[in-house]
Amino acid sequence: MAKHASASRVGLTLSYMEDQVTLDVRDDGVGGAAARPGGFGLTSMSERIAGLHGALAIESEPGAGTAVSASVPA
Amino acid sequence: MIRVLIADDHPVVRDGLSGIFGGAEDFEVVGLASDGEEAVELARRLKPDVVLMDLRMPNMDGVTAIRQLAPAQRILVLTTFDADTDVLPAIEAGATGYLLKDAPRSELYRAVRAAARGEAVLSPPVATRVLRAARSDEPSLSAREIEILELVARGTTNREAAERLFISEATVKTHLIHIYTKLGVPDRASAVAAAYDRGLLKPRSA
Repeated sequence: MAKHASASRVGLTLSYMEDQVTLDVRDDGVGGAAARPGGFGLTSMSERIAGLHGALAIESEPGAGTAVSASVPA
Repeated sequence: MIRVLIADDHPVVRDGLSGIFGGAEDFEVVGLASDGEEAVELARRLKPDVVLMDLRMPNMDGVTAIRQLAPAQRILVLTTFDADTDVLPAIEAGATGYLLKDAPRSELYRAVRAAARGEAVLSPPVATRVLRAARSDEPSLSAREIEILELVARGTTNREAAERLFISEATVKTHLIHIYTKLGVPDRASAVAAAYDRGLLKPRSA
């Protein structure tokens, strides 16, 4: 992540809520990341999370870093 | 003179209570019932100031009898049991007070006088249960939820909050949805108001 995104900081946050658990990975890099069809990174992650009845959200605007949030039912 | 009806399925208890109240100056025992059904019938007919009601009785239990008589009738539960399963239904049914049978005579007198005035009377162990039950209904926000609500209260947008906490905006929204549900409100402004009302958020000291 540090290599591709040119990030200086990466944060991992695990949140335990009543009905779900969420893992957030956020960096302060270049942003602009997206899941590409047939890709191995975000795409396969998205598929695996969906298999657990969870959801994957990718927020990555150019210049604003990237946040990936994976949440699964508790 | 306070007119008392005693409902208990144990003859020894009925006689004992009857003696305790019959021997006191400002009380009059107007009737004795041996189950809930009889208690309801006698209470309607004799219109006592206070019914002393046992809970576990044959034919009709005390809670059912209380439900039929309350709120017009003042009812003081007098029982051996102080479990949640006994206390809370009796209070919800409309009992004026709840006393345990190990109460000393003076406390019995005081409790019946208070119940006759319509005041709530609870034995200390019973009061503890009632308070605990009341507290468990209160929503408890997690430390993170409070943190997010504090930011929202200061006008922070979801995006800014996410940046500040270094998490995704999606997770900020998820936290907010949980906060709305717990507080029973539809949006961020009312969540902030509800949190201040309930003391979950405190005014920043100057």
